[in-house]
Amino acid sequence: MFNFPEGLYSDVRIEKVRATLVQYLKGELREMRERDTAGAFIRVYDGKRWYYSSTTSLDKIQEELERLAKLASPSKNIAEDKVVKNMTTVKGKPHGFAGKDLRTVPLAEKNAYLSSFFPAVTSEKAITMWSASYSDTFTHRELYNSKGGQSVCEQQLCGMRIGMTFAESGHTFTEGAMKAGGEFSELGDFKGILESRICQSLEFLRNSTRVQPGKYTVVLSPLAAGVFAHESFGHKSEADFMLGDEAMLKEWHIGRQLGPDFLHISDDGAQAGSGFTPFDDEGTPAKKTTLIKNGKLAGRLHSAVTAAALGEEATGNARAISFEFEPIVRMTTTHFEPGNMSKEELFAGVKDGLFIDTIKHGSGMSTFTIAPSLAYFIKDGKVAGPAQVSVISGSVFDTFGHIDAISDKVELLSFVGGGCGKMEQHPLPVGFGGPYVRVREMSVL
Amino acid sequence: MTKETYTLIKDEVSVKVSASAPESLRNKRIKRTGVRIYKDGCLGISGYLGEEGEEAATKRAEAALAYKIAYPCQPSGNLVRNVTVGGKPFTPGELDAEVAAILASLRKDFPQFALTSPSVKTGTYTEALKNDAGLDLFSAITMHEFVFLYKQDTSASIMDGWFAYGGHEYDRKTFLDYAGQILAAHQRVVPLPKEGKLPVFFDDCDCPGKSIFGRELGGMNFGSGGSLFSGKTGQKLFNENFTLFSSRAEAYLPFFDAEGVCAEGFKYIENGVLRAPFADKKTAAKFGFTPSGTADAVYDGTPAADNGAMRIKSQAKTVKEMQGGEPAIFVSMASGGDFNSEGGFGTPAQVAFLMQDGKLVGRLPELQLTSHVYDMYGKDFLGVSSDNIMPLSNSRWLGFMLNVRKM
Repeated sequence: MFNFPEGLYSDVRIEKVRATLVQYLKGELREMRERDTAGAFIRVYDGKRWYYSSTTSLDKIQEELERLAKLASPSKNIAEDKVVKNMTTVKGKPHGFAGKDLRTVPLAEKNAYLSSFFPAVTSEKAITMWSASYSDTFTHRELYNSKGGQSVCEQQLCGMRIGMTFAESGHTFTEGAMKAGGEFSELGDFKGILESRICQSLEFLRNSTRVQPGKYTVVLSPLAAGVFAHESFGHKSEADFMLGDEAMLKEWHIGRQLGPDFLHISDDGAQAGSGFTPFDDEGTPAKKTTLIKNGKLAGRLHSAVTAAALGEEATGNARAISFEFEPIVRMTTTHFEPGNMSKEELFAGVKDGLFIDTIKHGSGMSTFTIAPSLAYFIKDGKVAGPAQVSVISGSVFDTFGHIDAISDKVELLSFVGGGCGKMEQHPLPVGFGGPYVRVREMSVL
Repeated sequence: MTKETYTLIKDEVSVKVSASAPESLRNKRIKRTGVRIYKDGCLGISGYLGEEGEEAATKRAEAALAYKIAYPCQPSGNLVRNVTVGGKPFTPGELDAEVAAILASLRKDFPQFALTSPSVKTGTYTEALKNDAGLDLFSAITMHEFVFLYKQDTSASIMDGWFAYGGHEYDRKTFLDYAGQILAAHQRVVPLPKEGKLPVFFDDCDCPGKSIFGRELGGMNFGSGGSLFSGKTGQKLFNENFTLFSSRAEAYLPFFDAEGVCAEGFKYIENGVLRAPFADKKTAAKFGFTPSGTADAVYDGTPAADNGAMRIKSQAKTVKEMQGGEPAIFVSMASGGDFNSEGGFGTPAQVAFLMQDGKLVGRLPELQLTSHVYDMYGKDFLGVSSDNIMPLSNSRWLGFMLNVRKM
């Protein structure tokens, strides 16, 4: 397909995307579009440096390959380079999307479905401002490399979100309801989610009280636990942060005990949903990577490049947000595995704590943070009224050791309209979720 | 019927740095064009990538009028203006050499630090908005963005801190002096002088304490009664010295917004008095506001008001004068905090320095900062300095008295 230059490793990633967006602001239509785009990302490697180009001129990919090759220094031994050795030679069978193609669902049907939920919002007087959106993407991705490897895959994601601002008696509160999945039919139970969220939000608006800053035992919902796993630990398992860093490799060595023996965390690109990555953007097929097993560090997330550097296997986690960017090590669907007790037992063990149900955002470095939205006091094992919390945080190094219970059922979640940010690449669709997780000594503001 | 084209061109070179060495060189030239058709109070939009496709996009935009996206405003017109800001961007070879020189210098002077960078970028960003109502606006801005993350060789964190420069003009010595000041201060661990209320300074372009105005001054929310500040226009809510305004120029944005509105200096809060929310034309028309000239849009999207260019008016005092000889805190990184629904503020400060007479003197432990919007911008507002944090950038020191305690 391409004449790859001699003495160099090179690959070409072509992306063709159909994206739909329908968006309303307080019942007024603001956006309704179907967008078709195509572009390519080209990489050339000479054993020392990478040379990249992104272009929308698919007929000029060969020219770009040759232009980049002129910047590089070809090597007779490029095939022996350990990074190149790690690149795929697999000619993967095309991976088509098995379900109903979102492109065949008429725009009018998507719009009508979204609009059908408006009465639940407009009938509630305390909702002073709201937005509603339906979005979907169908992505066709092809990858060809100079070792003969190639992959062709198609994937899709759709979802709805209704954001609402509640105001009453001088108090305001903003929340949202979301549902996402790989197929249009997966959005079917959105009505119940929306109505429940409106009820919760009204209660929060009317009855929430400010939490006293301090240290609390905190129960994280599957959503909050997912963010916690992603922010507090997931990013540290991305191996590009460890390259050439002896201190970090020593601190995060495989086998290190991080938490209790019922603590297990995985990343799985084969999992359906917003983190689904059947082949990564280097052509490596998806696999489940166990990051923590029995409380001990068990694995890392890799691209072909980082795997070569650390002498480990590529894990299918080299991902880019679009054809404009190079693949870097990213998570897919990251979650806690089932734990050691039922949800009811987990709550029953809290005398005076907090339950974090939904969140606004999270971040993670040496200290991770979660900004809760719907949060509740827990008194004597029972949820006891809504709590206003600005942020919960903790040290990544210590917090896993403070986990003292994980519930026994996992709920995985998908998302649209946002995603993970790393370096300059945001947003990347990821999935997360998990069981309920109880953590002691969380810092609460 | 009015036809309008909105063209965005990103022409960019970047170098990525890993383990204190250049890892990759990337070229990007992406052109996006949106075609907008205004007719009978409605707006139809479509777009395309690359050089060709206007005819087909025009047909799609005309067809999109059937969606009945209301736009009960006149498109901007009768204005021709062409503004080019900044000099020449680096060529790929020049940028590569510059990054190599920076790394060589920092490796020599600070061998105990490993440096990474998601991208050291240089580029020209072009926007043009033209229509057959006589609008012909063109902006070309050349920008350099040098962002470096650092970590000490003994640290097990992903990163220990960062230093960055963004601006039109670049000078290696100035950048290295700034980087050296941060890295030197990082090595000197100092205790927090005391817990309690302390003067705390932020980069005014990157302050989590400003986020509440982006959230609560959105025109639709404000006009609908859902904002913390709804119904308070004209009231003196904040400190006399607090003036919040829009400056696209200081934010390195084109002089016109995505609707062709030019409103540099638009005031949201003036001397503590709430004046106006930010609003696009449609929202402004709905509620009787004035368009703030801050509408943003993807190339093929409907323009919507954005808060990206909010600045706080600076005072006559330098940061040293604002400190008045007392120790203060400079927060270099505060990630993950937020305001709650009632205006309460809390954030961890992951990277903070002790500052004396406007100079960083040492690194503080991780901190927790709390306050409330009406305190931060009321009795506890210290203001924005007259001097820049770094001479080449637009960032200034923004100070508050905040409740501070160790994490």
